[in-house]
This record gives sequence, structure tokens and C-alpha cells, in this order.
Amino acid sequence: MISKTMCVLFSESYSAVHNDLAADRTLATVPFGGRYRLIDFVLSSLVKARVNNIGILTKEHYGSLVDHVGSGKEWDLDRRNGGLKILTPFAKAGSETTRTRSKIDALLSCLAYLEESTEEYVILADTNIVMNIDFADLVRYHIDNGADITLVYQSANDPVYNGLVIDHDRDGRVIDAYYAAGEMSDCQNQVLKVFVFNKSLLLNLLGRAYTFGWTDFDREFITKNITKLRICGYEHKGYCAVINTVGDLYKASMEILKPEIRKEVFESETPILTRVKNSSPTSYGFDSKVKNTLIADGCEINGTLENCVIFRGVKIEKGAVLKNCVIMQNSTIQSGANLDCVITDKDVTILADHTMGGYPTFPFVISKGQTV
Amino acid sequence: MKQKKDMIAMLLAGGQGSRLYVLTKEVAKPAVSFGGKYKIIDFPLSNCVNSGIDTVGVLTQYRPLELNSYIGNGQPWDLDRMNGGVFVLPPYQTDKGSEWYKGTANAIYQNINFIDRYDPENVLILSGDHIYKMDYAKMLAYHKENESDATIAVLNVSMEEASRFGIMNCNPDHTIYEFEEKPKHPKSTLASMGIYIFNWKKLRAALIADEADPNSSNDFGKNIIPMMLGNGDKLMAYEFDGYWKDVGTISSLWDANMDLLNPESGLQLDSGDWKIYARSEAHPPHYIDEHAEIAESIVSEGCEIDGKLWYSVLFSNVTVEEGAELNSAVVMSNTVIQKGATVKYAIIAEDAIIEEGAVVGDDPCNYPDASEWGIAVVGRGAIVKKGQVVRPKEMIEPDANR
Repeated sequence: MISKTMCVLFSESYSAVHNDLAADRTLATVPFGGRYRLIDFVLSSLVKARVNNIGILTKEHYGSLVDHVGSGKEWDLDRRNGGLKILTPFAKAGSETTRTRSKIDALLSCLAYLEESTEEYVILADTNIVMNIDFADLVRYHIDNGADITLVYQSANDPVYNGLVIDHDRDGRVIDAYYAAGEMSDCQNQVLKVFVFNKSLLLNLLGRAYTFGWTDFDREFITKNITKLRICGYEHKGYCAVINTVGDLYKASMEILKPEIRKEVFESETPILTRVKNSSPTSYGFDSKVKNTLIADGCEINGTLENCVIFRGVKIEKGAVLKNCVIMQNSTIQSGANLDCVITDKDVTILADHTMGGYPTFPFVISKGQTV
Repeated sequence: MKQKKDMIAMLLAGGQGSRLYVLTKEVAKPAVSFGGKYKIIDFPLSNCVNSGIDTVGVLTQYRPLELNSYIGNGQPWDLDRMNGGVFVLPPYQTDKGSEWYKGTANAIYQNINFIDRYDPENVLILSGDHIYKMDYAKMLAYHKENESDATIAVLNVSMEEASRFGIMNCNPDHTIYEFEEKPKHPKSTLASMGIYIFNWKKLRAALIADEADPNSSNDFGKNIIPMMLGNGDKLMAYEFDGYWKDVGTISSLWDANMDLLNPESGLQLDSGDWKIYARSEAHPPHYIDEHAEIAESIVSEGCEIDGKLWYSVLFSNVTVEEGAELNSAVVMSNTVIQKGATVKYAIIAEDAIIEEGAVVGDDPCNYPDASEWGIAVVGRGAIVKKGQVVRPKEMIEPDANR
């Protein structure tokens, strides 16, 4: 059945949430976990499930995405038929903007791609979700339940969550879907923005959306159709982190240091695939002291690290002390610097003897290329 | 007809490398792992690509499976090309019968057709068992400038070492007048590095003449070079002064790995302008746990470290459990060093398990009689059982249970 399934990924969340790390790149290509970009997780799960026709919708500043996924070679998606396709924003001649404003707009811009593809089912998924999901099982569930739409949810207790929540009956059919409001203390079924649609239904809904000028995907496609269509919920029971804000990224970075989560996310039968950079292995000097830290290739470590995630090509000089930090590609932390709860983007230099810090709930972020 | 090439490379990768003993029992020498994430063959292949050579024939013979699957379509080295790329060239059958490659020169002789397809001006002959970074384009420029028929890369070695190498005796202008294989009383210290650029027309003729001589051992050093000297061809020595190491023995392989830990050795993997490429599996970053202590070591992706590392080289996906101690150890991919095990002055090949409390190798300080000491080696997939001791110089066969 999976051979009859295609996938459309959203490189942006189309929400108003601000994220410093996505200022000049797509949300999909925000660095995560030492050597990955967020999109690697969903792409690797799709490859594992043998979904071979994948389109990625883009909005703006998608250079980093083109750079990262390229022809899809690293994911074995450079195929003669299907494979990976970056769907660039579509502008009509004379229109002022090339931006698509909403998920529905974005999907309308790739109508031709959806129509040309021969698959019967479409997975629609956000790319900012760190999890290891079995898409083959999800599609099987969708078909076995005779669903029109299947949505993925996780049961979690999160007081600040303000996204879509569902209730379902004993058969898994969704009977209510609404935005979380106010403070909730119980577990909720939070929708993860991974959906399976019958393609003909999706095309039909998109046609109507175009006619009526709909823009809100969750409200128009899901909430309004609960009684009219058979919408089913599929529970994701494993680890899952949705990365919208820098705080989300920080929290998830600290969580993957835990062995059980790391094993689940990274060490399933198939690895998380990403672009290969050919860095040499990491070298440790005489003065390194490292505890509970994840370190990618190509680093030079000569300082003290505790509870950190260190990306490729980072230099930690002698006497630098880093705790609870996320240090991205090719950054240099000079000797005597003292950092706690800091996230540096790529190519950042922290000069000698600087002390900087944030809080776990509000990490201090240093943007790309800065020297402090 | 293929597009004419200025120079193509032929990489001799057929040798067994018998002096690497258990490490080459199941794989050819060029496929032996080196430096955390590489195989020996990555060095000449990456040098080719970085020097602008886009066509490489790899001559295989001994245990080619690992090498063939590793090279694949050549994509990691950017050698998946429309016109050219990397080709694995094993011996083959013809209507006159079939022959193994009898020697280095014969291996090239049997592939004259392959080289002719690219109609190259020059051919670069390389060995698959040396660790070095070299710009062959500079050597080619030297070759052309001197209008040489053959240019041989040489390294200035010490007088003591000279009797272990093939020595080029040169005139002051670096033209070669004599070649001596491992001379007892060397006249010069310019040692051949096994890297040759030949004018293809001259080499082609020499190979055909050499093949017709039943007494020849079909070797570049022993036969082709002396023959060309005898013919009055112009042979030039090209002096190279960077890091170069023949890793044909256990101790030289271990030394070369240790050289990576010494910034003064001249062998640096991380210089950005001359990358060494390798086929790599997608492993997550390595993880350093609570009890780890690491000094002067290199660690690759996918490792989980909770023990102590001193002067060690860890390949991808190695596990070092709490209380285990590594000193001057080379540990290849997927190997597990269990709790409390000790590994000193040793090479542990891929997929091995060193069980709790086992001891592999020892410090040379504990051996006043140097002849009793040597690097301990554990073969691929072998298991050293709980509490067992593998003494210095000892070798554990692949897949053995000890």
C-alpha cells in the first residue's frame, strides 16, 4: 500500500511563532542534534517506509534547503521516477508577491504536481518534528480503518500547548477537534501535523478552498469535516519533539542526551540520513574534560563540556567551560570563556574569557557568524 | 571514442599485504581501515580527485569483495562521472586463456585496452598502501617541464633507512642514472615512493617488450625502470617533502595511526584545502558519558564512551564501557570494549568484542628485552573472553574465540 503513497512536506510552519535560528533559513533546515537538520528526521522515516515520491513546499529563503537536500542523493531519493522534488513558490505573472501565505495556499501552488502523481494516498507532514515514526504502519492504519483522513497525535501533558487537540471514540474516529485554550492539567491528544489523505479527497477539498478562499488548514480541512468525513486518529507512542521556538530546540537538544531517547531516535534499524560533509574524526587534547555530551565529527576539544550538543567543526579551546550549551557548526569558543545555557548558530566566535548565560526556559542565542 | 585525457591514474590495489597478517586475512591491504573513518585507499583516491584527475582504474586481485563494494560507483570521491570516473579492474579471461596479474607491470599490461580508450598523454601509477597527501598536478607540471619520459616521486630518507627502499641514484639535475632495489650500500638517499608518471606511448612500448621477456618478473621497480634506463629514456626524480608512510606492516600501521595524534608528525586530516574523502555510513554524533576521561585521542561518529582513553584512535560506532582503559590503542568500527577491560599498544579490528576484565597488549616499558614486545592484534569479529590476556605481539585470528 505504501507504494501507492506520496508525500508533501512543508518546509515552514505557517505560524506566527518567531525563531531566531530560522531567520535566514527554512524551519526545515534548522540544525539539530550535532549533525542534522530538522527535515532529516521525517525524510529518513519516509525513506525507511519506502515512500519514493516526495515534494517539499517552500515559502521563502529556501536556499539552505536546496543546499541541504540537493538532488536527494544522500537519502537515496535521486530517482528516475518520483524521488525528491523541491516545490518552489509559484507566482502568477503580474502578481506582487511570490509568497504563499498559508498551508492551503502552498498546496494550491502544487496542484499540478499532486494531479500528475499517480499515487492514491498523500502524506502531508511538517518538517519540524523530531521523531521516529513508522509511516508504513500509519498508511496501513489509514486504509484498514477506511479513513478519509488520518491524523497523528500524541498524548501529552503540556500546559503551554496551544495547538489543535482532538477527542476520539473507541474505534479511533475523531469526534471533536479544537484549539487548546487556557491552562489544562490533564493529558491531551495533541495533533502532530502529520496527516494521511485520500488524494482524490484532498484535491476536492483544495478545489473548494480555492473557490471559497479558505486559508486555515486545521479548521477548514479537519474541524469542519468531523461529522461529514471519517477522520481517524493514529497515536504516536514514542518520543516526539515539535520544534517551533528556540526554547523547543533547546529542550529537545537536552532530551536527546538521555540514552533511552537517543537510542529510540538515532538507533532504530535504519539510521537518520543527512548530508555527508567528510569531516575528519574529532580530536581531544590533553586538557579536555567531557561529560554527558554529544559531539559530531571534525571538532577539536580541549576544554570542559557538560550536558552539551556540539556540531561539526567546533573548536573548544583550553580552559573554556561550557554547560548545557548547543554549539553549532564551525563555531570557536576561545580559552577561558564560560557559557551556560547558550545556543550559538553556525560560525560564531566567543572570544577569550567571556562569560555568558541564559536559563533553560530562555536560552541565550547568538546568531550566525557573530563574534562576541 | 572517449574524450582525450591529459592523464589518468592506475591504482595498484591487488596485493594481499601479507605482513599485516590477521588484518588482511579477509580484505586486501588497501581496504584496511585507517585513521578513524578512512580506508588506506581513500588517500590515493582523494589525492587524485584533489589533483584534478577524474579517471582512475583500480586493479584488484586479492580478496576484492570489500574493496569493490567500498568503491562502488565512486560517488564519495566525486568519481561518478559521465566521461571517466573510477573503474575496478580485476584480471579477466580472453580467448588465449586467463591469467592472474603476475606483477605490477603485468597488471597494467593486461589493461592496455582500458588506458587506450582515454588516449591519455600520461599515466599515473599509484600504490594502494601508502598514507600521504600529495598534489599530483604539481608532479605532472614538473614532468612536462622537464620533458621527461618517466617521473618518479622520491622521498629523502635517512642513510640507515635507505637500504629498505628502492633507491634512485641521480645526477645533480635530478635525472636518474641508476635504480637499486634495497641496496646494502646505498649511494643516495632518494627512495622511490611507488608513484610514477609515465609518458603513455613510452610505457606502452615498455610493457609490451617486458611481457615478451619470459625471464622478467613484470615489476615496475625491478624491470620497467631499468629497461627504460637502458633504452636511454629520460627519467626524472621528483622530490616530495611532506608526510608519507608505507603502512605495510603492523607496526607501521599503528605508527601512522599514532602520527594522527601528534601535531608535529605532518599528517593532518582536518586541513580544509585537501580533504580526504571516505564512504561513510550515517552515524549519529558520538556520546561521552559521565565517567569518561579522554586525552590526546581521536573519536569518530557513533561511539559511546564511558571509559578512559589515552593516545587512542577510535573508529565509528565503538563502545567503551565504564572502567575500561585504552592506551595507545587503535580500535576499528563496531568493536565493544566491555567494563574494566584494558587495551594497550594494540590494534583491534572491526566487530570484535573485548569482554569484561580482559587485557590486550601491554606497555613496552614492562619489557626490558625489546624483542619480546610488539603490538597486539585482534582480528575482525574475534571475541576475547572475560578475564583473558592477549600478550604483546600476539595475534588473534578473525572470528576466533579466545
